[in-house]
Amino acid sequence: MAKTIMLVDDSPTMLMSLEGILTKAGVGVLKAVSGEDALAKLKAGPKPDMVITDLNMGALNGIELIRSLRKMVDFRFMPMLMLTTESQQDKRNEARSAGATGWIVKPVEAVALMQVVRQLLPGA
Amino acid sequence: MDDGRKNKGRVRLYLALAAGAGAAGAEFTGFEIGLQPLVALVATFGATVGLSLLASHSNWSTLNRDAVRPDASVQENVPLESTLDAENAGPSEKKCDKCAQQLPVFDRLLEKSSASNASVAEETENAARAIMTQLQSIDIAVTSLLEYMHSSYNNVVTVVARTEQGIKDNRSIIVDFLERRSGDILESEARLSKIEGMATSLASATKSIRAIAWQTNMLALNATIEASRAGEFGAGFAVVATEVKTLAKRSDEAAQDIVAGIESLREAIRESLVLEVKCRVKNEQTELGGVSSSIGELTLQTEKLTAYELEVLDRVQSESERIGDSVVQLIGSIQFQDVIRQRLEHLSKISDLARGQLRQVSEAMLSGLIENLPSTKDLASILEEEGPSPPRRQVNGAMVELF
Repeated sequence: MAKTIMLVDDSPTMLMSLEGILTKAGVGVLKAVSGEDALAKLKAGPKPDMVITDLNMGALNGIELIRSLRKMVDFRFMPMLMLTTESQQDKRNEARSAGATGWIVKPVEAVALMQVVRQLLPGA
Repeated sequence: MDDGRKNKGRVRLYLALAAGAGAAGAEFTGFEIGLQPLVALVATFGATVGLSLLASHSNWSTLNRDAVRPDASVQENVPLESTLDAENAGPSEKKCDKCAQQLPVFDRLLEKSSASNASVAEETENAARAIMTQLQSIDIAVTSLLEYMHSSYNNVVTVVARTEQGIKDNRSIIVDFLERRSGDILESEARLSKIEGMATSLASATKSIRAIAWQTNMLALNATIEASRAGEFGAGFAVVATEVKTLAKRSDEAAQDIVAGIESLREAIRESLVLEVKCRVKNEQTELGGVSSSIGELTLQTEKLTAYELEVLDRVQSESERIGDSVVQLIGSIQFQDVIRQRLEHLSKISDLARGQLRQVSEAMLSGLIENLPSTKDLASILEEEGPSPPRRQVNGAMVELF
């Protein structure tokens, strides 16, 4: 069964790029344009197999989104990746503490992205 | 105190602005949106601001020697603050006012820079969307081409299999026909042998007839002799004996005619049945051999054509897949726009902070109350920030970290 990933980013370019890469690899995509949008969509369902989120997105940033999701039973063990232009260690540590599974620095190449997706979602 | 050292903080701030703008501009060259004039403007502006402050500092810093006391906690980290040293207080308020009047120009420049940054970010986003749309079109075309190639490949394979089967069937039909024709010859020969056997039997029968005719002739001869010995009384018997002799002779002649007729019949059958059939079959074999040879040649050419077609399909397929991979890589590369956008936003944030700071400095200078000078904490803090990472190429997922 095809895997589904939710992409959370306020940049339409990023969403288009990631969606292009993932759909070409046969992975289903759900999109959200902010942390709040993602939270609402994830609560309403359907539930994806993974979340890839940007960091800086206005009120509810990526780290806070992950922190909120980890408090919910359905999302406790779901792989959640940060995909951001930031690369500072303190931010990474903050994301790790919030429950992020990994950290990817933008821009991410198609091969590298699919490598980490397949590592976390065998069969994707 | 040396003026260069005193203004070190300001120069750092504006040169950072100019350098940031320059770096961002360089990254945008790929989008071909003509950012260079803006970069040049901001770079010039940065240098100008730095130099202007440097030139005016000796006047401005002397507004109130005692009042210009930096906050101790800020002073440690912010060279800008440290430039307002009490030792440099001095010159006239007029000069200071004149200097403060120039500051709004820089505010407008910073405002323009910030607006340009936002405009550039928007333009690059539009350009990126347009590129993505084009890439998606290319991707659809390549995917469609690949599907067509797969379909064509399967069709060609099916047609080739059918053609090969057809050729094989034709060759098989020809071989069967030739075998059947060879069988016909053998059958004709067998029939002829049978007829020859029957003719031989008939010849043997005619030999018996001739033997009987000979014995009859001998009997007639004996009867003639006995009739002669009987004299006048045997005269009638002698006539009968002569007639019998004549009949025996005619029987022998008839038997000889039958033998000759059978032989002629056998020769006629041989010629018509065997020679003609053999000759016709031989001609058919020659003609069908030619057809078979043509089919063989056709098969060879078809196989060559098929191999060539499959090679072309393979090549087109692999090239299409390669183009597809490149399209996916390009789709990934579009993310550079987002990185650039975030860096421009960071730059705008710095500009906005600098504008606010300039405004407050200007107000403080015009009011003559040096204690109104703003804190440079925020500026110092943003100078220390790393900000968004510059776009860079990743090697084997080196920019990916799993916790």
